[in-house]
Amino acid sequence: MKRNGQITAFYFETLLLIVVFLLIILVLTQVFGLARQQTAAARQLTDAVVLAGNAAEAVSASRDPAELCSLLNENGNAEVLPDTSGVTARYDDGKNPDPLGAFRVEVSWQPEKTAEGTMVSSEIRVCYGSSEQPVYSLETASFKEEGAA
Amino acid sequence: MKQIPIKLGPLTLLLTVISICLTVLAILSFTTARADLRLAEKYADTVRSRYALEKQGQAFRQELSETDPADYGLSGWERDKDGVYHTVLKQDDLSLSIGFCPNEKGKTDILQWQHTKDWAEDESIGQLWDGGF
Repeated sequence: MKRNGQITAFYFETLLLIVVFLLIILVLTQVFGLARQQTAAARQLTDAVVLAGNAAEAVSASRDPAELCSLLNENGNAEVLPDTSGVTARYDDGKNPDPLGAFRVEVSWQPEKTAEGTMVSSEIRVCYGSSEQPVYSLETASFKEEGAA
Repeated sequence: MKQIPIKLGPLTLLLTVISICLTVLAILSFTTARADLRLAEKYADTVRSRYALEKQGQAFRQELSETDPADYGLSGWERDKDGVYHTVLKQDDLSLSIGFCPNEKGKTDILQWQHTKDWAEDESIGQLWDGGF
């Protein structure tokens, strides 16, 4: 009788141990998953910021959307929008120019003529995958003085 | 036949040690990932501010191009001993220092275009003994 009770207690204790251990593993898996998700988000954001910065520098170095496109274009990854209101360029996860890349950099080109030149305002949006929601966006401008090189 | 009793003590101890190690690893991974994300967000904000400041600077260039150089003295811009005018634009904790002077063609030469970040030295020494009694 006493031996039967001992065996039951042993099985109960083992079961309890396994259940508690599984619960801990379950919670920790969630924590590891969350950490992985945040690391991926941090990397994606940093890459998007670098791409947006590069595009902003290209805007200040260009006089029109065609020149901007030629600066960004490598391996056919950039194209001028049909209404010439901007340029779209694509990059892969390693930030290399790639026409099929997941990163899509949209650079708007809004010129405003003034007496002494043209003020170009530009919004740069970096989207990832098929999402229309930008990972990162910034605004910049460049004044193109008349007659300047 | 003699039966060897199975004891759960060592197994419980082993699983406890494994659980503690995994928990410490999980906490470290999570805090590192969170710090990475915060740093990335801070970097993103700084770059956004920098280009917003660049936009202000370009608007200032446009304003300069439309101003007669003879009126520069009336505009309240600081002028140094070399005849170079200076202005500072600010955005968050970033500053853009622009130095310019009129040239002989009646236009303006930009001589300085410098982005800087405000920084204040932390002079407090916390709980450290400063050597005095």
